[in-house]
Amino acid sequence: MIFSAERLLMVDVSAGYGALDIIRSIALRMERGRITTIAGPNGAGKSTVMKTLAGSLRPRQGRVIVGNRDVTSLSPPERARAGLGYVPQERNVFKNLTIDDNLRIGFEFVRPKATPRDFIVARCRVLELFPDLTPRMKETAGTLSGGQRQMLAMACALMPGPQILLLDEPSAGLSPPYVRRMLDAVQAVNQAGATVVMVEQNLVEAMRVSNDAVLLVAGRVEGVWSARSFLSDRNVRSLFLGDTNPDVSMRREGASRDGASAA
Amino acid sequence: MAQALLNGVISGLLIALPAIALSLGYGVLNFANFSIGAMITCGAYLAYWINTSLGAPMLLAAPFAAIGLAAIAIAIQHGVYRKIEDGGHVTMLVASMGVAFVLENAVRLVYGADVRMLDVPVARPISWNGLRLNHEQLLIVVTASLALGAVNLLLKCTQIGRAMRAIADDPELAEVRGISRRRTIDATWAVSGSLTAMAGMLIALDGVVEPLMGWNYLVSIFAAAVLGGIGKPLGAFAGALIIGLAEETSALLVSTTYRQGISFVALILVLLLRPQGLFGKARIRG
Repeated sequence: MIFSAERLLMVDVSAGYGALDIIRSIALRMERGRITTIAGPNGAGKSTVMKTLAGSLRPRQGRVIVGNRDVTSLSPPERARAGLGYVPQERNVFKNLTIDDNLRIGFEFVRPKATPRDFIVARCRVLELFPDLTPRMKETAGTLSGGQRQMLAMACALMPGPQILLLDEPSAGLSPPYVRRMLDAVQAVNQAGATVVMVEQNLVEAMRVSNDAVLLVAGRVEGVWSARSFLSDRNVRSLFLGDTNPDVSMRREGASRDGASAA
Repeated sequence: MAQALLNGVISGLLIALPAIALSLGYGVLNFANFSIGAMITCGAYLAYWINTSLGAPMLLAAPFAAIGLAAIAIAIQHGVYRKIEDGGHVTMLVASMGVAFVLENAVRLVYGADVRMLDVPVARPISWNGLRLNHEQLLIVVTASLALGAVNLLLKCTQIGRAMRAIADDPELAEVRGISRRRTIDATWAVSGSLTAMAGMLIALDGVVEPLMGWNYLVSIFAAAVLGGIGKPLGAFAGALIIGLAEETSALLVSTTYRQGISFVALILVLLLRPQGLFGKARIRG
C-alpha cells in the first residue's frame, strides 16, 4: 500500500458558470478505497462535478469534504496539497516542457517539504505503472501520442501520492488497447490505496474496474448503482441505448426523443 | 567592420537584459509590458541617486538599484496589474503605458529634464589589434553575460523557474499542479525589475542619465523579444544579439540616425515572414 485513501463527500452542491447552475443540489458519497465512475449523457454536468471537486470551479452553494476536512473554500493549489489529484480532460500536460519537468512539477509544489530522495522514490513508483515514459524523459511532452500524453497526465497527478484521484475521461480519444491499459492503470492505482473518482464515456470498460457507478442527468444525480448491476439496469439502458423507456414504454415518440437526447 | 561587430555584440547584450525581462513577463503574465523603457530609466535614476546623492560607489549602487526596482515592479503589480487582471491583455498593455508615463514623470519631478552623468572615474579605452573597447563596454559584457547565465540557470534548474515555465505553458494546469500564480508573478516581476535596472545602469555608464533614455531602446527591445519568439526568454537573448548586430553594422551603410528604423524593419520582416519568431518551431498549443 503506497497511497492512503480518503472518502470524498459532496453535500448539496450547486455550481455553474455565470448565473446558470449546471449541477444542482448534488449529494454524493465516494467511499474511501473505491473506484466510483460518474456516467451520464453529454451536457449532464460530469466535467462540472470534477472541476468543482478539483477547485477550479467554486460551488455557488454546498460543501466539498475530503475525509473530515471541509475543502470548499480552498483554491486548486490548496486542494492539491489537501490530497486531491486531478487529471483534466484536455490540456493536462505542459506541452512545451519535458516529461521529466512535467513529473517534477507534478510533485514539488504539492509536496514542498519533500526531499530530493522522496522525489526519486515517487518517480520510480509512478514509472513502474507507466514504463512507456521512461525512455522519453528528456523529450517535450507535446511530442507524445494521445495515449502516452494521457498516461503522463495521470503520472503527474500521482507523483505527490494523492489520497483521492479525480480523472476526467482518462480514456477519451484513445484506441481500444490503450483504453484497456489506461483503465488497468486506474485499477492498479486504486489497489495501491487511492480513492478514485472518474468520469468515463467508455462504460463497459469503466465498469470492469469500478466499484460504484453514479448516473448524472441534467445536473442531478439520477441514482447510484454497484458497477456490476449498472449496465443491466433498465433505466440506465434506456438512457444510453434508447431501446426501451420504462416510464412511457407504450409511446414510441417519447422513447425515441429520450434516446436522441442521450446520444 | 570588426569594430562594428564588436559594438553590435555589446549593444546586443545590453538589449538582451530587458528583452528577456519582456519575454518572461509576456509568458507568465500574458501581456506585453510597455513600461519596460520607463523601468530602465527608473533603474538608472535609482543608481544615480545612490551613486551621487548618497555617494556610494557603483559596485554598491548596482545591487541596491536592482533590488529597488524589483520592489517597485512588485508594488506596481499589486497596485495596478492585479486589479485589472480580469480585463484581458489589451487592458493590461494600455495600463502599462500609463505606468510608463507615471514612472517617467516621477523621475522628472525629482530630477527635472536635465542630462546627468554617473560619478565614475574616466579611464583610457583598451586597444587590441585596432579594436577599441572602453571600460564601460567591458563592464556591459561581463555584467550582462553573468545576468543572462543566472536567468538561464534560474529558469532551467530552480523550482521558481519551473513554476514560471509551467504558468507560461498553461496557467490553469499550473494551478491544478499546486503552483501559486500570485507568488510566481511576483517572482517574475522581481527578475524583470532586476534585469531592467541592470540594463538602465549599464546604459547610463556608457552614456548619460535622462528621463527619455529608456524610450530610445523600446523598439529594439520589442524587436529582439519578437525576433526570438515572444514568451521564450532564451530566444529573446538570440534576438537581442541579432538586433544589436543589425543596428551597429547598418551604421556602416546608413546614418546612425536610422538605428531604430533598422530595428523596426527587422520587427516587420519577422512579423510578416515568421510570426512565431526566428527560432524553430511554433509553440505547441491546444
